[in-house]
Amino acid sequence: MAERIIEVKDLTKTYRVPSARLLEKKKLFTAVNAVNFYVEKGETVGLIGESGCGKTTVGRIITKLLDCDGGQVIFEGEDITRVSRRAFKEKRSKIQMIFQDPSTALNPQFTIGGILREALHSIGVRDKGEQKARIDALISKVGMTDEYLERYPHELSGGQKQRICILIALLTNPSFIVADEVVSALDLSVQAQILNLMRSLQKEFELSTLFISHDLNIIHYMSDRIIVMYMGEIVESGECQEIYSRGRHPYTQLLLSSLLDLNADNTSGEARDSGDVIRGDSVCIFAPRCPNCTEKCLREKPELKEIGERHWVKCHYVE
Amino acid sequence: MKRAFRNKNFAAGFILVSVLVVFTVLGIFWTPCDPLQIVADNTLQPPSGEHWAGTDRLGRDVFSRTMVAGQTAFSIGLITVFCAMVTGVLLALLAGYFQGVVGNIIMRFTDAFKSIPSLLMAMMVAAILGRSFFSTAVAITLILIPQFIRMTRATVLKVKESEYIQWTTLVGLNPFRVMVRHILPNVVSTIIITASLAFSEAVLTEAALSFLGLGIQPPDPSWGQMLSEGQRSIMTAPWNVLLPGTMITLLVLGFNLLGDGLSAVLNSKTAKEV
Repeated sequence: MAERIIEVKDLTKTYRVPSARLLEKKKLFTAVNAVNFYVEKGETVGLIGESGCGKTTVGRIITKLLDCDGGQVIFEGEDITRVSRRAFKEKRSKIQMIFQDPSTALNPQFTIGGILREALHSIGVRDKGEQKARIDALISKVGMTDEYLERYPHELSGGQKQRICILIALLTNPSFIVADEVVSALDLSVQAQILNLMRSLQKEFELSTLFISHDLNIIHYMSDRIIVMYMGEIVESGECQEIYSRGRHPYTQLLLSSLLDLNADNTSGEARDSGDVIRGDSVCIFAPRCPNCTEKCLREKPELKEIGERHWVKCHYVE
Repeated sequence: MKRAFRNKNFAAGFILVSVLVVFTVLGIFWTPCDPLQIVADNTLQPPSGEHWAGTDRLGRDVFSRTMVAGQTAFSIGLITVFCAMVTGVLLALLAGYFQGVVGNIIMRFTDAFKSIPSLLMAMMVAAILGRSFFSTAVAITLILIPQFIRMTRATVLKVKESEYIQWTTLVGLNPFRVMVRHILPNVVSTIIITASLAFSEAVLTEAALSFLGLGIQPPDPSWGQMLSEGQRSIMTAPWNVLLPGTMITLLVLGFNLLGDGLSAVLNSKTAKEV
C-alpha cells in the first residue's frame, strides 16, 4: 500500500442557521457528517456530488480555510486540524488550492507577475533574481510566456487566467492540491485544455490531488479513485473504473444513468426527485429519493461496508 | 478622466469645487480690502463699487472676509479629512481583517463614538482643549473617524470574502502585508468617495461650531462666524449673511456632487485603466 499523503478521519462541520425570529432556537445544519477518506501519494481522488453536498467544505477544511467541528485531517503523518497558524506556517504552502472561478481568484490590482512574486514571497523567496528564475522555469509548463507577466488579470481570457492560477499553485512547490471545480467556469473547449494540462502536470510533479467536481465525466477522466458524496456523507467510494461501470449505490446509479442515457427512455430507473429532507441518526440520508427505499431504510442508518477491493458502499441492500 | 466628466454630477461638482478653490487661493495673495480693518464710520454699508458685498457691523469688507474665511474652511476640511482618513482606514483594515476580538473592540468603540451627537462632541473637546483652530480640527476629526471606519470596513469585509484574499491565507502571507498590499488598493475607491462626502461635512460642522462660538475665534474670519455676527442685522443688512451662506451651500453642494459622481464613476468601472 502506498503512503497516504492525506487522511481525513470523521470530519464534521456544522453551520449555524441564522434564526428567522428573535429568541427562536438556533438550528444547526450539518454540511459534512463524519467523512473518512484518504489520498495516496501521486494519486488523484475525485470527489463528486451535487451542489450543496459539502464537497467544497471538505476542500476548504483540508486547506485550512475553514476550521472543522470534529474529526482530524492528517497531512504527511501529522494532525493539522488543531495546530496553530504559526506552527502550521512551514507546511502551509505544501497544500494548495485551485479555485473555481479564475476571474475572482486573481487580485485585479496586481499584474500577473506581481501575484506570482507575492506567492514566492510567501514561501520566503525574497530575492528578485531568484523569483524571476523560478517563474521563468515554470511559466512555459502551463503554456504561457513571460510576456503575460506585465498584464493585469482582466486582460487575460478565462482559460489563461486558470493557467495562471495553476501556475500559482505550483510555484510554492506543493505536494497536495485541492482542485475545486476548476473548469466549471470555463468554456467547454477550454475545459479540455485545462484538464489535459492538469493531468500532465500531475504526472510531471507527482502531485496528489483532490479533484472536486459535480461532473462525472470530468471526474472519470481525471481520477484514479472516486468518492461520491450525498448530503454531507460519503455514500460510495472505489476505483474509478469500478464506480464508473459498476456503481452500486442508488445515488451513484442515478448519477450514472443521468449521464449515460441522455436519449434513452429510462424513466423506470429514475429516482424520485428531491423529496423531503429527512435527517437523523436512524435514517438513510438518501431514503427520500431512493427508488428502492424500504421500511428498513427509514428505521436504520446504513454503515459504509466493503463490498470489493477498496470499494465501499453505504446502503442496506448492496452486498 | 474623460469618462468621468461624462457623469453630470461629477462634472458639476468638480467645476463648483474648482471655482471655490480658485476663489480661496486668490484670497491668499489678494483681497479687495483688508479683511481685518475696522472702519468705525463705515458700518453696515450696502454693496457698492468700493465694498462689493457691503460691510459688516464693524465696517469690515464682507467680500474680503469671505475670501479669507474660505481658507479657514478649506484648511479645516483638508486637515480633518486627512487625519480622519488615515486613522479611520487603519482601524477599518484591522477591524475588517481581524473580525474576532480586535474587530469587535474597534467596532464597539466606533458605535459608542458615533452615538455622541456631533455638537456635544465639539463642546466637550472645546471644554478640554479651549476654543481654537486646533480644538475645532480635533473635534471634527473625531466626528469624521467613525464614518471612515464604517464605510471602509464594509468594503474590506466584501473584498476579504473574495478568492484572491482567501488565497493569501492559503500561502500564509503576513496579515499586515495582506492588508496594505492586497486589500487596501481594492478599497481606495470607497475611501475617495467617503473623503469627498466627509469634506462637505467637515465644512458644515466647522460653520456650525463657529456659528455657535465654539469654533474659530475672532478676529480670524470663518463663514459660520460671519453668519452668526450677521444674523443680528439680517433685516437691515442681509448682505452680511448672504455671501458666506452661499459659499457654505455651494461648497457642501460641490463636494456632495463630487462624491456622488465619483461613486458612480468608480463603482461602474469594471476594467482598470492602465
